[in-house]
Amino acid sequence: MEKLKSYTVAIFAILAGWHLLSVILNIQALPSPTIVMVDFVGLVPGELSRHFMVSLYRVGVSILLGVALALPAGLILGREEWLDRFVAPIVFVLYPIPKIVFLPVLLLLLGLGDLSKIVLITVIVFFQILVTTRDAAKEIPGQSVMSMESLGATSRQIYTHVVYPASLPKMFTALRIASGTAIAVLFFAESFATEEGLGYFIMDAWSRFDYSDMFGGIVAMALMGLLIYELLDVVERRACAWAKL
Amino acid sequence: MSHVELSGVGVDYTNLGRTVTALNGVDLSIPAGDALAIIGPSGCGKSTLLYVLSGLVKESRGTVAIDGEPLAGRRLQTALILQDYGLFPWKTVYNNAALGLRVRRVDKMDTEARVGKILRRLGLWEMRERYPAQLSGGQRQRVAIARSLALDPDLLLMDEPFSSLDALTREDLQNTVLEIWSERNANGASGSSNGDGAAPLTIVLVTHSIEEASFLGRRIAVMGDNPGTIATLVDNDEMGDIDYRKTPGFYDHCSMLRGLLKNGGDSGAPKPDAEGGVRGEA
Repeated sequence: MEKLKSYTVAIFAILAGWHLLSVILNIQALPSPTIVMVDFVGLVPGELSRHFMVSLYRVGVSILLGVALALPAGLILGREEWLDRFVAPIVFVLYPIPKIVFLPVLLLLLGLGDLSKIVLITVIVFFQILVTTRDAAKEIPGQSVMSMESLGATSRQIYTHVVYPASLPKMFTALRIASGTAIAVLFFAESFATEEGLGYFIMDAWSRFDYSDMFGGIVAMALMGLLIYELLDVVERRACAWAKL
Repeated sequence: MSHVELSGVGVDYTNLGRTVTALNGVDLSIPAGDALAIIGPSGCGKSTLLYVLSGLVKESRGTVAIDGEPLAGRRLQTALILQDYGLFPWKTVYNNAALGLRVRRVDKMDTEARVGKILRRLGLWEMRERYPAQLSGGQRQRVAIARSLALDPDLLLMDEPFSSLDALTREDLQNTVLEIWSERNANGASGSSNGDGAAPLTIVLVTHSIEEASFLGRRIAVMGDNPGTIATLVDNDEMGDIDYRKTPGFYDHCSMLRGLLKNGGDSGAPKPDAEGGVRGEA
């Protein structure tokens, strides 16, 4: 309830600033929020919802895949030094490369459909989660592991009872940051050679000089970001209740 | 029954290509039901000695035997309590206390019975749903004790267990440990009122606190500046009563220990005679 109130205030502040800017600039490319909202309400039952769902599907699947692959890999790299010595240099060479440069290759190999976009975003999420969870797993105090060993735990049990839960809060922080990047990259990927998704919808509206449609698409994208952020929050609060004490 | 026998035990660590000797020529015999305190300055190797007993660190030289069997890795009836990090903040009091049993795949009903009983004994039952962050330091170490006792150990190893607690809480927990030790060793074979813990409980406690060593150690091993050796082994037969702390004998014992610790290195303490309860001739 408290949250709803603060979001309402925030939305009004953003709308007010937007309105003010549109009045000052007085250009077609920045329509007033009132015009956009009226247009938005008309767009929602129609094609905007379809594009929204397509984009949400692409980002959602990518985030899930990225986490499913990177979380175990990061934890293992953080704990198994012999493997890390070999793999970490590879990771650090690849990590700073903006993965978006691979879009042409991916489009060529995987086609123009969902797959190329999902793979691209998955790779981006993967690296951000991998690096964070690896470092988190490395930081686990030796005494924690020792106390597990003294109880007679197997190395698998040390992973499930110590390494994984200890690294989870940092994983969620990385995931929040990664989800923002994921949406930005999704927009870029969807503005090429596709006819579905919010990126396409926005670029298409722009090419038609339909600025109120374009901003409707931007609003939808903001809502998608908010939805993902809040979903992560709910999951995190369930998974790491102890970290909030 | 646990009878711990160390002879000529040495441990070398390799750190960044350099070899560091943490323990050297340690001979020690701990009879079943003993309470041994190991005291010494930081870096004297006292924790290493404890880790060797726990099976977590393998000796580089010499032999370690428990109940006549050479120690090979971890032993199920040995429990270890560490100063910090022993409890996991993501597990509730109950789950922390039950962790050892879970790891050993003890069945759920049995675990509930054992852990419930021990949590009640230590006054933690009402807090079983809480997380460590919601407990005081003393309560946290109680949970660590509960986890160790749930394993039904015959050898309880403690590494500076109470050093981060305030004085009164520390004494309170020392009393608890003493009570548990006395109960287990009084019951012995007769299996009286309590009915559980038929085997005697051997305690080995590493501490840098003179008072703690005097209160909980029936024998006290003083480790010297000469890294990794036991300088002297002192008997302390008067311990065993909670009021011992208030007696003049306790103070005398503490100041005697203090003298031994001070002289630990420079006078070239005589080679330890493991068996012999030598009284400070340093």
